Amino acid sequence: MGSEETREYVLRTTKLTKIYGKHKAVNAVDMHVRKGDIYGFIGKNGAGKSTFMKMVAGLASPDEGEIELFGSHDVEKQRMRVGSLIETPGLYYQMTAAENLEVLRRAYGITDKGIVEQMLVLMGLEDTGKKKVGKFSMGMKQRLGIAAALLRSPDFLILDEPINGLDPQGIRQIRELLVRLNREKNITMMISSHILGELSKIATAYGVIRDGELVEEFDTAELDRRCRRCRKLVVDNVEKAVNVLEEELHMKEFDVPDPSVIRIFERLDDISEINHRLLSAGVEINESYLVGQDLESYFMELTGDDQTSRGGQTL
Amino acid sequence: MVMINLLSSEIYKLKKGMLFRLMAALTVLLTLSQYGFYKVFEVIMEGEPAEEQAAMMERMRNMDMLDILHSMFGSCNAIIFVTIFACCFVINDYSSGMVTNYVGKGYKREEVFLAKFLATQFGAVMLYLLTALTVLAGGIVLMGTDGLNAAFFHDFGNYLALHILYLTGYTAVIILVCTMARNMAAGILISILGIMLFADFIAQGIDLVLNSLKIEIGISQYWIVTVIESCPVRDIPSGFVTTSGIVTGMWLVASMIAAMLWFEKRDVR
Repeated sequence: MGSEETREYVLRTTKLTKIYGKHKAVNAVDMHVRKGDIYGFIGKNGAGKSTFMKMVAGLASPDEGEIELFGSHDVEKQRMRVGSLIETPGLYYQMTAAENLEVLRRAYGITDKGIVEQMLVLMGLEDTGKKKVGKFSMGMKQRLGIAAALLRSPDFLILDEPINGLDPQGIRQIRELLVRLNREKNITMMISSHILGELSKIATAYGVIRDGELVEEFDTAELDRRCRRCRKLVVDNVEKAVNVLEEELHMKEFDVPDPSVIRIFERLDDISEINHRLLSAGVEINESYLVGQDLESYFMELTGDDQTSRGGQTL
Repeated sequence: MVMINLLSSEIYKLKKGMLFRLMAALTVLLTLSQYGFYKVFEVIMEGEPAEEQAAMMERMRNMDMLDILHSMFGSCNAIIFVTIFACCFVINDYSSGMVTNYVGKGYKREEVFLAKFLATQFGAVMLYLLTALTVLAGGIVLMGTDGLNAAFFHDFGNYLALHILYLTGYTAVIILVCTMARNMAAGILISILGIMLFADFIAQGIDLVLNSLKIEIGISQYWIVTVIESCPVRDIPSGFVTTSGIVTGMWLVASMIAAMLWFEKRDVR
């Protein structure tokens, strides 16, 4: 995959904005999706996820800002390399799965007629025969929608709530399929979902949107770090405190997220010794508490969906 | 090449979808029912006084396949099915979300629209040709081959060709309505009530108002449905052909451009 710095961007947006009437559905979003990523796009309903994805897919036109796909501003041409499934799958319910894919195979100018059958096998829909799509379960429709998005061997897949309405088995099937496509075919993905626990099982990078604004982007390592159980110390002199932790206590697993805050990730039950050494060195400790969150709570805090957990769950 | 691919996809939809087959079947049934009325009328007249029967039978005897064709095209019978077909065929792409598969793949919107436009026109023309064929086949079986001479085929051909021309203008208007409505119920309702029925009345109403103001412009004669209804069956004056051709061309081009612009500018949901 390469280092973060050297991996090229599949999608980069600059100040992307969509306005409906007086409401800014998407407000100056700068998003960065790197090649090979499964980018989890998080936000509560109405936050602007679908609108943003529609602009990237060309279904809605931006009012302001720019989109860069595969390093090019010729977005229309580059969209040939993009597959998308936004909101509901675009399917004819009165046709069979094979007929739906055949409609698209012809439209995309794919000469290999066997691709329809290949896709049906890949999605586990090869036994649907003459059954009309209208009689499919939600999971089958979603899988057929993904097959439609994959038909032209895209390099970048945009999926809006692909596991919405699925049962646990269906969710697992889709999850495994997406991971396989990402690993075996190196397809970069942007996936939105409100089932955050599921998203965290496959995503390698995240973007959080709240009220149309992208509030944060981070990768899995950063997420793990943020959700790790730690002791937060609010001190008057961070430099001196860091010195004590390193020199006297020989600690390595800590960071300084704010000028007055230290997060310690080791020796969490040894607080009396840590406090004693800091106080002895003349460091004033204003607050000291354990912090720990599960992923769901953390995401909900980020998206503004859980007012009570803002600031973390104090243990 | 892109257009050919898109057209191939649209024609496949026509072939595989139930819609075209259903409308084709209904068109054939309605056409044959015209002959049915003719036969039923013969039976009803059997009990009537001999003089009345003779006069009516004389009128009936003078009817030929061209009159049946006129009852299908000139009285806007066949066009009801064309309207329903065009509405469903166009709007289905929006209601099913299928249009997102094309637009989201980087195809130019005008190409996507033109493919749909041409396929809808093709389907509509096919329905009209099927109607004409049914008229001929039904006529040969029920009326016999008397009168099937060069003059008949000349008139039949001219009348059919003109109505196919008018049909393209009419279908373009329906495509415009459906592209704007994007909702099945609204699209069909506006097309049948608004375009087929009320627009005609409104145009005639405007004529009356203009006449009362001593302005001698017959607005209604420039409405595509009026053109369809007023086309003579036989001995079509060349002046009418020219005027109706221009009117049709105007509606065809104006509706197509308006629908394309609308499709290009609007977000796809």
